[in-house]
Amino acid sequence: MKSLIEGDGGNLPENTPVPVSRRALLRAGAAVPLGGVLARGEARAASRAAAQATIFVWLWGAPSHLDTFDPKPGAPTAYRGPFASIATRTPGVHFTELLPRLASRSDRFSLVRSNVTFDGAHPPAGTLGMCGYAEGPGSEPPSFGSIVARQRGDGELPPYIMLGRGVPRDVVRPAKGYGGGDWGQAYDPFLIGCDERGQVNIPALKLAADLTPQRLADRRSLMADLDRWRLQLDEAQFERWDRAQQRAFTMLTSPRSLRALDLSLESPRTRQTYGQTSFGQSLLLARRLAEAGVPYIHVNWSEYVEAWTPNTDFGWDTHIHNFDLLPNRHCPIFDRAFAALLDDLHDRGLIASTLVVCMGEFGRTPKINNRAARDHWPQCYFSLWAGAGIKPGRVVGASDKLGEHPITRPIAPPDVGVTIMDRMGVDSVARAEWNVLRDAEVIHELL
Amino acid sequence: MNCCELTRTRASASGSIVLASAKRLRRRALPGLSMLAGALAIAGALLEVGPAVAGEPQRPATRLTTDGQLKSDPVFIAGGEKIVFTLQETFNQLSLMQLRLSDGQLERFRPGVNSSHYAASFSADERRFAYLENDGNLHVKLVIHDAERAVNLAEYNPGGGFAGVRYLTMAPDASGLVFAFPERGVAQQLFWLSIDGQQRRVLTESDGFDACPRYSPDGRRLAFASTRDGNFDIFVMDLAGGPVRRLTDHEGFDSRPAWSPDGRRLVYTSLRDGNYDLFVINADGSGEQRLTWHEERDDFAWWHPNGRQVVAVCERDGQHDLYLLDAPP
Repeated sequence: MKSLIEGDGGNLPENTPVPVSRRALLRAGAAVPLGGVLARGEARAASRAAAQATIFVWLWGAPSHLDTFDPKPGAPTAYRGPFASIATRTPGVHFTELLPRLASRSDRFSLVRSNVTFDGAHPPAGTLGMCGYAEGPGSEPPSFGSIVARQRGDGELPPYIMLGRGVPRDVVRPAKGYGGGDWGQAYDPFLIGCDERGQVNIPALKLAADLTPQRLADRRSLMADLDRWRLQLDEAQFERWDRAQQRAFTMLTSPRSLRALDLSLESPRTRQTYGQTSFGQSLLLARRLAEAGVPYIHVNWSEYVEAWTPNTDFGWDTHIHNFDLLPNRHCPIFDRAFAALLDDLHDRGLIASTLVVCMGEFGRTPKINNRAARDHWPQCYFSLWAGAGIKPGRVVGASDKLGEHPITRPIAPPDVGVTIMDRMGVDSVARAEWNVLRDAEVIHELL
Repeated sequence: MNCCELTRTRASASGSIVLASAKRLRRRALPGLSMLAGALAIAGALLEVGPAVAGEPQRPATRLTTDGQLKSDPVFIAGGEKIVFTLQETFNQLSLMQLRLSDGQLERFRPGVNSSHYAASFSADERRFAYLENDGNLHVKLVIHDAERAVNLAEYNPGGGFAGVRYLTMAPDASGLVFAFPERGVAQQLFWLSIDGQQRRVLTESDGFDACPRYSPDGRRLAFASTRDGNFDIFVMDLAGGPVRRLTDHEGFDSRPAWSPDGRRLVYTSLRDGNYDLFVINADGSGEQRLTWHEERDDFAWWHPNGRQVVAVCERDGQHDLYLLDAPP
């Protein structure tokens, strides 16, 4: 059986419990600071929060709102696009024909059609979308996930996990707002890759040459390694590892953590329902991580925004081929996987305690461009919300007849962030203390 | 999955048949889901699975691949002995693959091409073929290749900046090819291009999106999808002139027509019932029949040279594989 987890080329046989826990490792005398990476003193009780976890599904590259959740069948040809509208389970609400599964489940989530953002380029809009603030020369605010991580503190599993091949970026540079920003690396997400076969990859392990999952899984070699590490790995040396490496080590010595990462423990039926795609299996992994107590899981559709660029991974940035990629590839993958996530959370009784938010960094031009596709459009786009007290089946906000601008209160990225914080129990006192997301408004229409 | 209470596995297209339990096959057929990692797992055997198509238990479908990776645009070559198709080979690469049906051998069709390349189309004698290649940031060019001399005859660059050729079909006599490209406003037209890439003329000038052109086997007609009347429907035009004939008229997405070898019928994809399914229609627009009913996606159909079967990309249990389906008689 090939590995479940890939690190430095090592293998971890599936269902193999790692024989030594972090506590045992500490007891063994290795004087290394393997306690929570985040200071527990700042962790606040989350018992009163509506949501125990947030799954933030990031459609990087920005899907067209008109071709998905906000069709405009009455708009002129130059705007409406070629796809038919179909009825949903919500009376009077239509999606395009590319989302039949979600149309039949519109009573399981709510839709915001009046999102706006303040930058039309991917990295800065990505920063806005992930932390609620614009990129600037001065401070770098923390991301939503980092705020939740600070509130909840560390556990066996990192409090903020990002599922994807890398942090969101375009071919030029990453978006800045994905991590801890000024709060430091301790609040960055812990990156985990998940391929279409459900095989998990932990990039941080590649940096710790000795710590292959295979070695950790082999009891005899592990004990030998522990003896060696106990001699060699003094506190100073451990501290030289970066946070991600420390977390990776901590996680890999926790059987509970390993179980959370092991998609082979799911039934074949469940795994199939999400689809054999990286996105689908990542959503399933996100559900497992939420179930295991990870408070904030960010799932990337792709690492790169670009839809058609060598060495990039088919993002939603469809300046060309929008009307080809959406029906041929993107929407069938998304429709299946996201519908499966909603069903799975319902079936397992997790939806009441799990907030699901799904969105891109902006929308796409309502007017079709001269390449028969759509460009960037920060003035109006959509987001999907479910769980943790979100009233399902609602459409919040509306765009004008061409889909160019909201005709109701615009919902800006800080509003998205504050609504997530509201559900996660990060109250205004904490936000004021930490000086984050202070001047935004909860999307009360969702509640 | 509604396939297989009982499944037959055969060692080759003409080989002996071995019975296997569905459970056993499932383990073999879903290597990804049983955590077998690594490269493609195209089975050495062809898997005959039945009933794979809901509503048609009398018509088993033969599963040709088992890796489950995303696929598209299969075409038969070598008299039906091989299939060339597009595979999502890695997370960032589409590649043309060649599957030999006799033994399931799978290999790269264009091993020297390292960026995404896809959607191949061949002349009748297969001495010439063309495909699309992603050669830059949001840029897709068309490549015309001489298989005999193993050289590229031409590359058609649609222009600088963000620009991409969409879809192509090579004339059976290799005199040229037709591709889709948006050159005028919000519409997308079909263009004819000479085999040396030097001459180009516009074939359609509607206000809609014209896409998925397919030469008829005799090279005299062109089937294509177009939104000229509102949403994607199937049309046929006579290349010698005359009116464009509309074959389908549904509110749902009808696209990707492919001709039967005798030029009398077309198979195409329709989203009319909230799912991607395959339909067959006579070339005059009569006699439409539904080919698949499965609740998952059936798409990208192409006729076998025998005229009795089509290959298609069918999604089963979330996996995308090539299946051989019987066409309506």
